[in-house]
Amino acid sequence: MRMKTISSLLIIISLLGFTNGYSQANNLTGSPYSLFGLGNEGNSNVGKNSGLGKSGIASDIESNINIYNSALFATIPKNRFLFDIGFTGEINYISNGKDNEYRGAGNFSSVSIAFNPNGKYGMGFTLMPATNVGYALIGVETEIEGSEQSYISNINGLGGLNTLRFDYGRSMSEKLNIGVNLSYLFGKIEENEMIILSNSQLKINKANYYRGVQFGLGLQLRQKNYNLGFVFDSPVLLSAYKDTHTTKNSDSDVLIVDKILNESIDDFILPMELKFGISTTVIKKLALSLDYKRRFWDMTDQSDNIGHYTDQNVIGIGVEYVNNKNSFKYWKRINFRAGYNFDSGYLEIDHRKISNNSFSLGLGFPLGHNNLTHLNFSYTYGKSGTTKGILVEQNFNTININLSLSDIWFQNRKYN
Amino acid sequence: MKNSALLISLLFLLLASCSIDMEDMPTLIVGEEFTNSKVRVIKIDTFNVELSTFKFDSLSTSSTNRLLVGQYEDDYFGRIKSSSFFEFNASFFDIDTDAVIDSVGLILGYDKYFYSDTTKISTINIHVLTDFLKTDDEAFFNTSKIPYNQTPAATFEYYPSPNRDSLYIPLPLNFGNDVFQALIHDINNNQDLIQVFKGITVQPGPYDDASVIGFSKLNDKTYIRFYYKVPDEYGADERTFDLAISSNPLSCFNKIENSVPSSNLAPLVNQKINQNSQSTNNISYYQSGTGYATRIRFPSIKKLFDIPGDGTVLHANLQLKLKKTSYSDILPVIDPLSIYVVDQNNKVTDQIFHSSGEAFARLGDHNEEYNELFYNVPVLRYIDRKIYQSPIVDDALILLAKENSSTVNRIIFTDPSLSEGSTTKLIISYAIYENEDD
Repeated sequence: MRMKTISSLLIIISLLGFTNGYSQANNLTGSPYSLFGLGNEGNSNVGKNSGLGKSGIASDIESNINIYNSALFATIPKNRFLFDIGFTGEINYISNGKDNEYRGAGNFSSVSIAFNPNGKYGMGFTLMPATNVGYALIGVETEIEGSEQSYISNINGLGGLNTLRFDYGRSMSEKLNIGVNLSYLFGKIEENEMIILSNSQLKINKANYYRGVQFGLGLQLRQKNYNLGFVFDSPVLLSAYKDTHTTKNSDSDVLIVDKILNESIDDFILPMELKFGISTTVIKKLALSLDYKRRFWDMTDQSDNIGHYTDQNVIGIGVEYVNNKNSFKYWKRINFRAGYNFDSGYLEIDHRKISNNSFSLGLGFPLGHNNLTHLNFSYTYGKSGTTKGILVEQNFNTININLSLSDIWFQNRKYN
Repeated sequence: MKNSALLISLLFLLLASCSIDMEDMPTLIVGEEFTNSKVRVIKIDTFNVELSTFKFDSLSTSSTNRLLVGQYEDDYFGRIKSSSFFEFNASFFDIDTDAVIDSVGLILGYDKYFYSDTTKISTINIHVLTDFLKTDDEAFFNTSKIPYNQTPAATFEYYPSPNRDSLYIPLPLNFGNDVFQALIHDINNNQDLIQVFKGITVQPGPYDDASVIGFSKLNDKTYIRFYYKVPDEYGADERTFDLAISSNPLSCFNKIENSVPSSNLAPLVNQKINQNSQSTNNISYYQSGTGYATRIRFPSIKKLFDIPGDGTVLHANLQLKLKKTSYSDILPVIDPLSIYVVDQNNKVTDQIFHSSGEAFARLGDHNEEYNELFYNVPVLRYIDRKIYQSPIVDDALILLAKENSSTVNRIIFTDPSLSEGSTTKLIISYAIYENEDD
């Protein structure tokens, strides 16, 4: 009971801290490719999946929340309460073939709760970034027409979409779990452009606001040695509006040029998504998972000023090793994880897709008297883009830290 | 173990609450082709600049701390003459009845201002006012007239030394004794004093061609001092009594006039008349004190709208060239100048302010090679107002010195058609931030 009180307190504290963090610019990426669309898909994650090459559509939830498939919420052990908070840090090494530099970003990234009150169904709530924007195009020099002078323009973008997600999973039989999920996507993406002349400046600050609702269906088929997972996520129409503030600065005189609020802009469509996953524990002490998903961008018929959006394929492979989760030796209880993820990308620039390959390693340290709580670390190294043409190559290093608290709740007191 | 979980949780929260964010702006030019910026910047310096000269009917010259006295011949404006009128008061009136006057003098404290040639001998004539220093308006003007005794009470010749402390002008004892006796016997307060002694005017000599000098009005700088003795059992006690100018703004003013100006300026008989620079040898005139000012217009500025797309003026500098030989070390120009807007009748409607405060036209760096001097006038605010003005008003910019009514400095501007070297022109940086087809 005491642990329960403390856990509740922690949840409240972190939710408070979290909302606070969200009201700030949650800068979770430094990638120039986040300029396009609504930014990069977040590297933040709940539970342990970031150490498993972002795979796990068919993997059961035991003590780590897995939001890849709503049907999995039915696999939360009976009377279990789960709570997860995550931190994501990213260091990017960016190169255009000639020059290169490091960019870093990081923040408190996710919070999630899940529970199964009676063994029949499980549910969960998650708040986390869906996409991240964090780019800077600095020092672009352009000639002033009618003169031999030039001006500098600096552009930076920040913000991203967040998702508030509800999952519900129900056990239909020993072999079948089904689930539904509903996500509210919302967020602000800012682009700040600054035109710098020797004696004056123009500042254009655009803030785009998006919101939309997505629903999804999940399925888990349980066989003796393996599980299968299927997920359908609906396309999302994100309605959008824009605030623009334009100011100028001339010899230290500051003037407002323009202020347009609540201007309606084109809606953005996030595509339909189909996912398939398989997981198995056929080899002793090893859990394997393999996922494939496809996002149908072609159907949205959208493009950016520089590239076209095309269908995206993602493959994730993960392996987890635990020697003996009930051993008296601590190291034998540690979870060792590794994974690989290939993401074809959805942006095609100069007939090249900005694909992304990444490898991940993860550790899960059991904590607490019942080993249900885990402190999960993962490190991901990845590469996207290319230095060919106008493109840049980006090497990124991501650290995910998730604290996954787990406790037994909802038990009626038997000894009253 | 239970507690260790809690401890780690708290540590984690602490870690999580410190977000990492490398604020430093990256410097690598990453894929500049990525930018979807549509901004274009254009520099334009072909807009017309129209200069003309007008003359203020009058300038308020009270509420100044400067007594401006002197006369010189100006190449452009003719004879410039400034004279000062002021009345006196005292802080106490109890002088011993047996006091005996020794001498009396007017002390004029320099305030360092001068214009034109101080190496030439100057005359000061002191006349007693025959009427009170009074006005129906709220101020005195450079044109106000107060009658005075045409015979000077004292005449004094001197070489001005504006960097010295003060000038001592001895006053005749008979003039001093009349006032002094009244002070002893009849005057108990400042009202009494004005009835007996209405004040003086300090006039330059009628044939002077020297300089105009600034003296301070402040009571520790300028005053009439009576030196007197009070007999006592040991002989005599030497004392002084001072009359100074009160801090009331209406206690003094300067009359500033120019006679026989050049024929270019002769038509300017009232404030509404403008003389275009093209009919005045491509120059326009400014002189503080006498009331000449240059009216600046940008008649073609609305053509900015011909540029397609949404745009804004980022920077607008009027480069205003001075006529060479119109300034020198003893004929300095005033820097900076405040910027005002006048209406079609040349009445001042408002002053140009920036977000950081008053806007100023300032002298640019002196171009040694061509010996050229320019004012840089920030005109962005005015142009922004002008291009959106509806209906169009025939207003204009003028530049005035802060001490416009207590100095006599001149500035001769050249118009754009004087094409020796670089000229007067309006230089605009214009940014288009939204194309029309969007």
